[in-house]
Amino acid sequence: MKISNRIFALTGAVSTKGKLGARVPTLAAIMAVASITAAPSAALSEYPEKVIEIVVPFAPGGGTDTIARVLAEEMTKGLGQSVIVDNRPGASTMIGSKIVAEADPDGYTLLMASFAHAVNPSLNPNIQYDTATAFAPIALVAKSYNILVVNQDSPFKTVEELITYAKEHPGELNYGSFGNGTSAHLSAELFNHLAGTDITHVSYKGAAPALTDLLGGQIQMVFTSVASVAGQISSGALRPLAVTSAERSAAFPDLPTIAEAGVPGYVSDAWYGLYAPAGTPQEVIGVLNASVQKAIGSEALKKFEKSEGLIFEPGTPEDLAAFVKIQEDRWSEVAKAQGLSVE
Amino acid sequence: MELFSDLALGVSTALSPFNLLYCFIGVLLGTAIGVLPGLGPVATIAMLLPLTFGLDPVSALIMLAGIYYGAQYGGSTTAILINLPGESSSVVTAIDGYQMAKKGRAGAALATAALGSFFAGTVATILLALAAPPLAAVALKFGPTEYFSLMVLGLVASVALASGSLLKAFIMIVLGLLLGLVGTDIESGAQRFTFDTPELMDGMNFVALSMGVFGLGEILRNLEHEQTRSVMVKRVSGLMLSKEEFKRIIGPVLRGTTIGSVLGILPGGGAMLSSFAAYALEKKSSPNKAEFGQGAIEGVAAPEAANNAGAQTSFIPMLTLGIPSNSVMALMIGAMIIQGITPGPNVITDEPTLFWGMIVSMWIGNLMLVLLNLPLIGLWVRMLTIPYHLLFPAIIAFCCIGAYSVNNSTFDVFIMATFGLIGYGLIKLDFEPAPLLLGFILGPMLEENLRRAMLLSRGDPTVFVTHPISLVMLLVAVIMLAVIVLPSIRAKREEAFSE
Repeated sequence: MKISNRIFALTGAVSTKGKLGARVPTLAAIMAVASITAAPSAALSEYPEKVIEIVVPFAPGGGTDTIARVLAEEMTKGLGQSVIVDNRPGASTMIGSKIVAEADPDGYTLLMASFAHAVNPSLNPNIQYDTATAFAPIALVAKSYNILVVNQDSPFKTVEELITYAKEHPGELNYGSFGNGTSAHLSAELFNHLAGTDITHVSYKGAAPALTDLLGGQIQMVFTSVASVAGQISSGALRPLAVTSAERSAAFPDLPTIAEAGVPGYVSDAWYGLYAPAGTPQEVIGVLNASVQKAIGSEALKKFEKSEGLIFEPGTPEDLAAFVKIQEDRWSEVAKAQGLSVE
Repeated sequence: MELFSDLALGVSTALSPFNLLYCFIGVLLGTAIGVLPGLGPVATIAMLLPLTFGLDPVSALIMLAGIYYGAQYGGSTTAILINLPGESSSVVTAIDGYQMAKKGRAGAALATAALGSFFAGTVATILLALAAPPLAAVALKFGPTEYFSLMVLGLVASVALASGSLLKAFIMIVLGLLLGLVGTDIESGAQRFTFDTPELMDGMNFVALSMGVFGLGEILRNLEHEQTRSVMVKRVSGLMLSKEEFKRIIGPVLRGTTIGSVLGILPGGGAMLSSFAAYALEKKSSPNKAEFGQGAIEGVAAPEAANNAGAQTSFIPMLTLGIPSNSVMALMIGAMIIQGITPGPNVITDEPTLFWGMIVSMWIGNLMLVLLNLPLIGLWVRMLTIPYHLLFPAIIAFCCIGAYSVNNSTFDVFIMATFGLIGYGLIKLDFEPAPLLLGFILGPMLEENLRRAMLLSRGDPTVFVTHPISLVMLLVAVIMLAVIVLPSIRAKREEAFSE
């Protein structure tokens, strides 16, 4: 299921082109499942009695979207109701988040939140909802981390060497990010903040152009997700120096954490968490949390452990709230210290 | 030979059943819109962009390319049969093609068009395959500095692209640049012209904008004067060329192919100009001068070969440098950006399956067109009888769904509607919308790379002339600018477009 099939099904109905027509059965299948399962649960009048939508604030195809789709499929099996993904990309997740913040708190519109969720309050003054009060936490789906990579020709073999050089030659090194406020940007600013370095931020629109310039030697380092550079690391084109998580990763057991490698206290987590609008009944949150716990134990999600560098930890809604609070505080501190907020 | 292993990769990509299917859909659709007057490949590709997102980038671009060169074929079919060129590039084909049809030689004219196009397409495809590797060698040397100069060159080229007044083209480019400024500043994250609207934070949607300006704008204009189309379908018989006719077309096809291949690479040249140029050349040099206008077979062969070769070679600057030579190519670049591919010299090395798959698919597509067109002529002509009042509402509904589906956003539908009106206004005022689109696409890339280059050089502007590749491109841009501005050449240029 790539890209909103519903839309393609609609276009298929209007146009008579064969290619589009082929998409229609998918819609029919979804609707058939929905209508069959809707009947008995409606009789019990218990949650869930209709299709649940998970709003993904990104375009189809990226990491968050892929995880949300597999999660939705697993939750569908457990809940006996269709759980579908609705992509609402844009404005560094604020468009999709706003839709969920303003949705009915009935448990049928959920938000797949990630890194930007905890960053937007401190970076975007024109945010149109209150992150602290507009959402009810359900569960942390997974944690992840970034990986610090340099070009294979880079003189830096360790983080210490990089820091020593950066301190001796202030303002000479550049790091690439995937845009303002992305985890690539903030992981590096946290590094500057804690290591006392002055490595210049060069912003790109997305991972691909930034990694191209890293390969071409225009920039010297990038903090990025495991999935985006796994190929270049195994081919030897890029050299990993460290991971940003608190503990070493299962995928790269030999790689130190940045904290171990010379920046004590450094942690930068990537994460994926499920939220409902504030005011959603506790029983509904309970049903959804249980469903997520079951899904993250499934084989389908386990296979992302290595490829996407995910770490699954069972937990309560309160655990998610506490985890995200730490994130918000961390990035608000970095934003203030490094002067990142836009006015 | 690396070329052969590359081509082998292309063959295996293009011959996958999935890609064959999309190639077929593309050429079929292209032929259909080529037949219908008023709906060009630009409008069609703009409208189909959202549908390609769910596809693999290779399949998507193969289909879009198919639409483009398929339209060149379709346009000549109606030009010959009913003196109604479906495409601007087939206008000249109608002159002698229709005369031939009146004399009962419609079959021969169609066969000439098909064979000439196929030959030209084959030559141009080989040319494209040969031109690519040398350009790919410089790929990794392209940093922000080089990209900036490339964008400058692209913008200067797009002034030359405009077929009307230079001043108006310039105004359109600036307007496009301004529209491209809307959104979040990439370095600082500041909001520009977003008026606190989250939907504008990522900039205006390229698909909605181009569907509005090209698709809706063109439909509105067509509605203004509904053509009455009297379709008289003659029986098309005798597709075979006589031996003498065959001999007569060899020269014109070769010359047409050459002219088309060269003009196609140049910005603004493309298919239309090359068909005019090829026809003019034959008319002046042919031993059968007197027959021209009365049904000379050379008058069909030369422009048809030229427009197809031009359509094909216009992919060269797009695929190897990421610079669009016409608005169809600008849309293709948009499609690549949306697919997460950065257009430029990197495409050949980073996406070899895309690059070589597309090249080979073009040749296969051309072959399909030859086989497809002759049996389907009757169908195409019947399609002309669909009244506009049924066709256009369906297309508009299709556009709305397409614009919505990009970001699942109603805001984008309104953007499209607004730009539909703007596009109509531009047509009425005789402004070409193509430079606007180019400004909109190239502007943000220009700014981004300029600022990135300055950031990396720590504010030293001399990098643009000390980097050799960048210097060369800036020099070419200066020469081009001089050429456009010089009065004598300018007069010639206007003459060429008014012909």
